[in-house]
Amino acid sequence: MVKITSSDNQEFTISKEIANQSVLIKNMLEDVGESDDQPIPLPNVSGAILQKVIEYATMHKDDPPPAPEDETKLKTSEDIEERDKEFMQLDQGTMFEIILAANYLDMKNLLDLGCKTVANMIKGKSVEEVRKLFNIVNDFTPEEEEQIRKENEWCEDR
Amino acid sequence: MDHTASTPTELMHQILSWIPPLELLPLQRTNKRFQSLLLDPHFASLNLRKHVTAITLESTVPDAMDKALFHLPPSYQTALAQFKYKQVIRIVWEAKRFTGSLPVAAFPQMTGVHFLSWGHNQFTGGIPPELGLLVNLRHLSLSRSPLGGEIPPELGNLVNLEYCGLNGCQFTGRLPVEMANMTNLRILYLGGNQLEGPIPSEFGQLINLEVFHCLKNKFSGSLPREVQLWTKLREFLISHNEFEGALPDFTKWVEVGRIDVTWNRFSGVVVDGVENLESLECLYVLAGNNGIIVDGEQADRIARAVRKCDLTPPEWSKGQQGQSLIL
Repeated sequence: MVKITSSDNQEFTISKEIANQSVLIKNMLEDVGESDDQPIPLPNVSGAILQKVIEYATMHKDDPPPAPEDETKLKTSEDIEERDKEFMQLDQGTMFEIILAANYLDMKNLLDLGCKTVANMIKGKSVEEVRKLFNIVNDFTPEEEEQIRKENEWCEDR
Repeated sequence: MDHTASTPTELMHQILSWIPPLELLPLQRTNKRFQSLLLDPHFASLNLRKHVTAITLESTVPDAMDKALFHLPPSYQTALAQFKYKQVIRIVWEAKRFTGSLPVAAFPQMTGVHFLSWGHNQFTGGIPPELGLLVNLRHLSLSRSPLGGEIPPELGNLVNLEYCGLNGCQFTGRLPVEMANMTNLRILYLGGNQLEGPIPSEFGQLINLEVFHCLKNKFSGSLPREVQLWTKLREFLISHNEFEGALPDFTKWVEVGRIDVTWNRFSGVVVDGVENLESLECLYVLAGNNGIIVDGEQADRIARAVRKCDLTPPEWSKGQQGQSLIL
């Protein structure tokens, strides 16, 4: 078993196969050796998020190793498994924090899942809808905005 | 709270890269952050890598991304060419109603192309010097688009070019001397532009020329004697310009079939022996060139040998018809 602690000092004990899904933790374990039972500090991840990440890793612990990436194949964000979709039913704040954590912990599958989920929220939306979705403040002047709109007219009415 | 604002660039890039490029680019308008995220030079390849695949050999049925090439920001043009066109040899996108300008930033990645046929579209802007990087081109057609500006000297780097179609655009200025380096050129269409100045004498090096059309421009000056070196010439159509001086010695063009030098300011005589050119079918000389002198006997001889010819009055009307079939 492996002990990890979050930024807010919550301690989690997880199995090695779950821990190894994070390349960061895997490398740390290799560096410090097996016998060390000091908890591994993860100062960039809160306990609440770490809890979610462990939930994800547990759900995927029996996954077959990923097939080597085919560079010539088109990639899509539409290929998310049902259980992952359910897992990502979260408020926006948590969603973005999971992306940050997955990036920090070096968990490619979780990172892709988070990024695809947010991308799918954006897809099909107008600029105005995207602003509303994320509470984005439009910091362009009307003239600047019009200029950019004109420059992109060709793809808006394709 | 705007979570996109606090998410680092690298991660925003990963998120946005999942959105197809043509849906994504309009989101530049969202705010300044989105604009700079999307126009970051590194992002285009991250995005396109997921959404386009390489085509090999030939492209004749363009898709939405091909159409977009002529509008994309430079970073996207480069990435698109890199992922999609690197192995393409023939691109034939004729009469597709494409708009936009020639993809400057894509050309450095398209050096393998041999055959580029983009005629009969609605391209605007000019020919960028970067077109000269496509040194493997054998065939280049940009004809019949509202392209303008001067023909860049770099076009002369296309030394393998055999077919060059630049007719029916709005090109201005003089022919760059460097085009004389295109010594494999067989067919050169320059008609229907606003080109001016003389034909450089260096063009005499284009000894493989079979077809030379520069009608309906503003070319001027005397024809260089060196055009007589074009011994493989079949068509020489230069009507409706402001050329002056003597006519070339047509008899040097032993394979010539069509000659039209009408509506210029030529003067002098038609060299004897034209009637012996076996392939000559059309010879239009007199119309609009008030200074040309042909005596009756020579005119009769030529008119008997050449099917369409404007040297004698009965054939004159045919000559007028002939004008209209010339592009």
